Amino acid sequence: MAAYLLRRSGAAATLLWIVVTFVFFAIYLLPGDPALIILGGLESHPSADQVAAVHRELGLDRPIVVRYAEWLGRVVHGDMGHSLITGLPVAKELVVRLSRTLELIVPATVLAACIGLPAGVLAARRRGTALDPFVTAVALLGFSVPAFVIGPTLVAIFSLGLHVVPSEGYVALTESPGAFFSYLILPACTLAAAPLATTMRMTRSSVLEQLSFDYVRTARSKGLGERWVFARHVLRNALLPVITIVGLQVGAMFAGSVIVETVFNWPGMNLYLLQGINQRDYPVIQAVVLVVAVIFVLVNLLIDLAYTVFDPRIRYG
Amino acid sequence: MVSRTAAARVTAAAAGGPGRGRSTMLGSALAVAAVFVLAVFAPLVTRYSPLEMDPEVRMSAPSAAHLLGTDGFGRDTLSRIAYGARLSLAVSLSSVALGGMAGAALGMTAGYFGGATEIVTMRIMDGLLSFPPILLAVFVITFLGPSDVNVTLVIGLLYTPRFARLARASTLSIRETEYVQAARALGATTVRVLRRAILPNVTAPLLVQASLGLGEAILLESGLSFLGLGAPPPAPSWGSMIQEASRFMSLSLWPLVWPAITISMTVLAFNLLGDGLRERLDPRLRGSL
Repeated sequence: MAAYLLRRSGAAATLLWIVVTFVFFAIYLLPGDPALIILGGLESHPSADQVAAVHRELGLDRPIVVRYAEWLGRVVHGDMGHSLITGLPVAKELVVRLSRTLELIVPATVLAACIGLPAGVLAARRRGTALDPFVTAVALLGFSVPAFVIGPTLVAIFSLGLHVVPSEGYVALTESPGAFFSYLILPACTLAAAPLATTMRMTRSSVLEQLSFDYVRTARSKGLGERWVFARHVLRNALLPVITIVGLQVGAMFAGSVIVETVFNWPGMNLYLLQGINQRDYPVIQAVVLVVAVIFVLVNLLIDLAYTVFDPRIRYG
Repeated sequence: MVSRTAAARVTAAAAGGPGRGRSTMLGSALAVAAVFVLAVFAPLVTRYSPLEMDPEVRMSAPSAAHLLGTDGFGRDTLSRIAYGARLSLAVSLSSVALGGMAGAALGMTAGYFGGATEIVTMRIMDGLLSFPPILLAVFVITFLGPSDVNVTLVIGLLYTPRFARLARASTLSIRETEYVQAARALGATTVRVLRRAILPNVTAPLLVQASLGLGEAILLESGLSFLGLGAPPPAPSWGSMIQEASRFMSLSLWPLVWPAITISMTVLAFNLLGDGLRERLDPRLRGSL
């Protein structure tokens, strides 16, 4: 067990190192001199002295290997550099933006799990009734209809049609909880749609798979009530793979929130990234991509570790 | 060597999709065919150019002159959808083909040679998989610049690791079979062994993966266009049509409705078709659900 933990964590660390290195070299080996951006944009023509001065200031005149080592050191300490546009520390802004994105992702996850799990179980139990194909159809739609269709549709109905919630924007929770939730509800629902569909479908197939096993027949034939068989035997086994699904959905939602934040003008991490891209603000791009990749790798690691905890049969040698 | 990761387990769990009948398969095949017809015969479907602006009829409702109405610039919506279908299909088909070929080559090489080749290749593939797809696409497009070719390259890059994993797994399972040994004993070159003995045995799962990837490729393409990172305007793309239309939502919903329905139905049809193919081609799944 300890050996597995160690090896799995080691693999995750290696992966993180590869990702960090990739991000560093991708930024610095590709065209677009940051000095030009600081001196007035990529189309500007500053003198060679000016460019050299900025290069010295940023440390760009030193060999790339030295810069790489330094950058690694700074990243490990949580220093992501300064924005080329505003000159403010990126890490500080990123914390604010990341928390806003989490304000979107956490409710969406809760929504997806609280509806998707029971609906999936119900569809499996009522297999053959009209409910099952209905759940399946909803799940299929959830896979196929993109967030940039669901979002505007919700806006058309609930903002433009019924005037119950605002169509876009953000108000901090600390400022006004009521307003925060009225701004939150549409983007959170939009973001929850795809993971909800996945959770529903996976739960359904996982429960059905368990129902086909012999131990279920044994449990039934020794006279256990259907309810008991389900709660104590089937669900315990069926929900294991679902943990993975819900976990992976959290990772996927960091990606899905790019679209959702754009649709609803939600000033989270992804809008920060898109803004950084538009302004060629390299430290910002680097920092956001890095943070998301780290979260992704860690979520995957946590899921794998959760498996060994929840399932005593899994003993990786 | 690579531990059984979360992603691999999900693929296994996902394998048990709901079983669907012949009629669903047929319906989705017809829908996919319809999109192809629309794309190929775009100039015959409508008499308007997708770029032609008519300020007199901006954001009009469907009418005899404009069957699906017009957008905020007075461009014919049907025409833009038809030409957008060209873009979506071209990008998704070529990106899946690209990712499939690159992934197959890398995965087969990794599986066949093993050792350091395998570790390095598969670690890089894991690295690619550790970025959320759309974010990696956004990141790469930032440097390459927005265009339909670059979108194709990026989606191809995103798909490479999935195909590589599959190809590697299949290669591992047949590397030691007797006919591969025999081919080697007869003095066949490595390239010949890979091509003649191994490739035919890894193609079936790769094809299934490819068919499943098409719908998602369309979603990625239109998603990137929606973010303004696809083919630059005024090129007709379903994603940018929705992006433009959603800015004028309070004035008219017509320009939004049609591309929204088109994307959703197309992706749905591709997904159903891919699922059906998988169930048919993979006997292990038959009757499982």
